[in-house]
Amino acid sequence: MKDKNEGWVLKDISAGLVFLNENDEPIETSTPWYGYFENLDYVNVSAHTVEMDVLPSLDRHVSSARPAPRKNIKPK
Amino acid sequence: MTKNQKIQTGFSVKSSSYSEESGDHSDDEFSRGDTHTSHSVEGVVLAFDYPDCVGPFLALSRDEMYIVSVIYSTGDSFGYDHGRGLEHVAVFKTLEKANRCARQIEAYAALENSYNSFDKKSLHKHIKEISLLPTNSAN
Repeated sequence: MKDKNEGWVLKDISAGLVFLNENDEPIETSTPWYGYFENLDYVNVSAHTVEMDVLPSLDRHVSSARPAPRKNIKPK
Repeated sequence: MTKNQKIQTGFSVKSSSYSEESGDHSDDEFSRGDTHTSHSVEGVVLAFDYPDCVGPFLALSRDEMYIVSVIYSTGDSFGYDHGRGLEHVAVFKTLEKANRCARQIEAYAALENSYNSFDKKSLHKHIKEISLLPTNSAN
């Protein structure tokens, strides 16, 4: 039936079964796809160089480190 | 690592958004104007705990990656939010495959928004074409 076929199509779309990843496998997603399709404005493809995140605590530790105070050395 | 374990890398995507309100709204306390939002995808970081995207490959710092993101509108009965939603769909190592994914999403959006005008035969033909898009057709 027409309604059943349309439902099958929508079910496939919502499951994201046909979107392919780098290895030509289906992209797995936990997010429903309906919102994208009904109200899609555009798709953006952007290139980036992968960065390694720096731990903020380590950053603070380095910036706040101070040299130990010098001892007063009396001249002989 | 066991035989069934897949090699994959998690990524956190850094982005910023700017929204502004426009349009008239009535004196009704619940009323509001429409909003327009623009997004900027600024970078990608290796993420070990809560990734935005997972790539089915090993990636290292300084590798070049391509992020496919969808921008969509939302709203409620009081106002419309143009371009409010931003979702990062997938990360790719090759531009061709990232473009293929973008084309698939755009094609399905077009299909979804006009599929009542398709008959059963043309609908299935259209889906088959989208599903089997060769990589080089994205360019």
